[in-house]
Amino acid sequence: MPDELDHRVRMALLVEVAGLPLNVTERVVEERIGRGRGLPRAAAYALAAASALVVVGVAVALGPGHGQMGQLGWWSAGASPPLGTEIPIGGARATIVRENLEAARRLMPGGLIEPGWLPAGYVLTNAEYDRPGTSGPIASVDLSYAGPGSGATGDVHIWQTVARDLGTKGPVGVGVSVPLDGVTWSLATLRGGLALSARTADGRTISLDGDLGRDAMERIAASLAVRPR
Amino acid sequence: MIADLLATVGRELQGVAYLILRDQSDAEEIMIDTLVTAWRKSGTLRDDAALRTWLLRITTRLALSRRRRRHPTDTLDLSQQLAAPLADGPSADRLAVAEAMTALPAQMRAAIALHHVVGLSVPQIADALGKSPNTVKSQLREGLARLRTALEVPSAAEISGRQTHARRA
Repeated sequence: MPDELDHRVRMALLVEVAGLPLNVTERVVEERIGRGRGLPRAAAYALAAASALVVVGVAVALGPGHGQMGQLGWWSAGASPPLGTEIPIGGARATIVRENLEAARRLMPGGLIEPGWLPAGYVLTNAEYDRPGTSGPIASVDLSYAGPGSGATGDVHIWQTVARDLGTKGPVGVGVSVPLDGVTWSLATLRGGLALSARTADGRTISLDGDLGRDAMERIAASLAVRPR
Repeated sequence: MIADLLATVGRELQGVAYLILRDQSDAEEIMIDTLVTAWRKSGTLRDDAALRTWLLRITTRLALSRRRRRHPTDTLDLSQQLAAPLADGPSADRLAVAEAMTALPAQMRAAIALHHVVGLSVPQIADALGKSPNTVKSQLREGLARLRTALEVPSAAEISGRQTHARRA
């Protein structure tokens, strides 16, 4: 009687799990989060919205036809995004991306380096940062951008760090030297596309990777306004 | 926010971790790690409606990863595993299935837990485990067969009861 046996198996498993006490508390988890990285408040928005299946619908990015950096002014200026525009990601994600970006700008020593140019239709889709402690400056920032039909045209990922031990793990020093607007970048071919890396005058490492083609990648790199070392 | 997640999916996450690791303290650690990971990586959640599945996937991967890191000489104490208090006490079925479950490979336990305890579909489990749906189907089929077998063998209590009954007869 496999059906009856299957039922007994399932019941035994369920009973075993149901008998486990739930000892973990909110405080325990929050303390662990506090020792890690990230921006709890921003993450809270995302997780709360997701757990309630609520889409807050915050619009935070560029409208159609905006591709040149002139329209990305609100990013570099550290201002709130213009209302009424759209971003192709869920509202909860949009909130965390925006808040993480603002925190990264505020907390990154020497300021956050952001692109001055992106291909048409490309928008910020993710912003994360590492923070060794619960307060103080952050050590590294990841910014990801995607365009229409992302995946087919490729994404762009920009990583920057002020931590010298992390910087040595970057692709700087691998590949060929490419001078761009007074800065020497290192161009390497990766399995997923190209990577351009440089060290800045204040000792940080910045790297961007993506599969947009060399011209577009170099144009983005040149727009990052990295001061020559 | 964390309190909401603990209330809504905490037991499921802990249950899946426990069924994979067979250790309550490890399961609690995995649940905490899952929520911390979710907190940090929430920007990568593509579909808000998929939160539960996403969390279960994180739990499964963390649990399997912890399982791999465990020292090979670590042993599992079944009597300790079954010490969790129950409303109606440990049944013969529960003991037999628990013992058989512990004897399954970790990946198979994960598939069983995700399918038969929290009700994920085969494609969702395949995604969580990084395996093909056919592999998952095979693991579910074999895992369930082994657990069924454990119930088909008479337990010590049943044998004892039959002997008592026979003596009375």
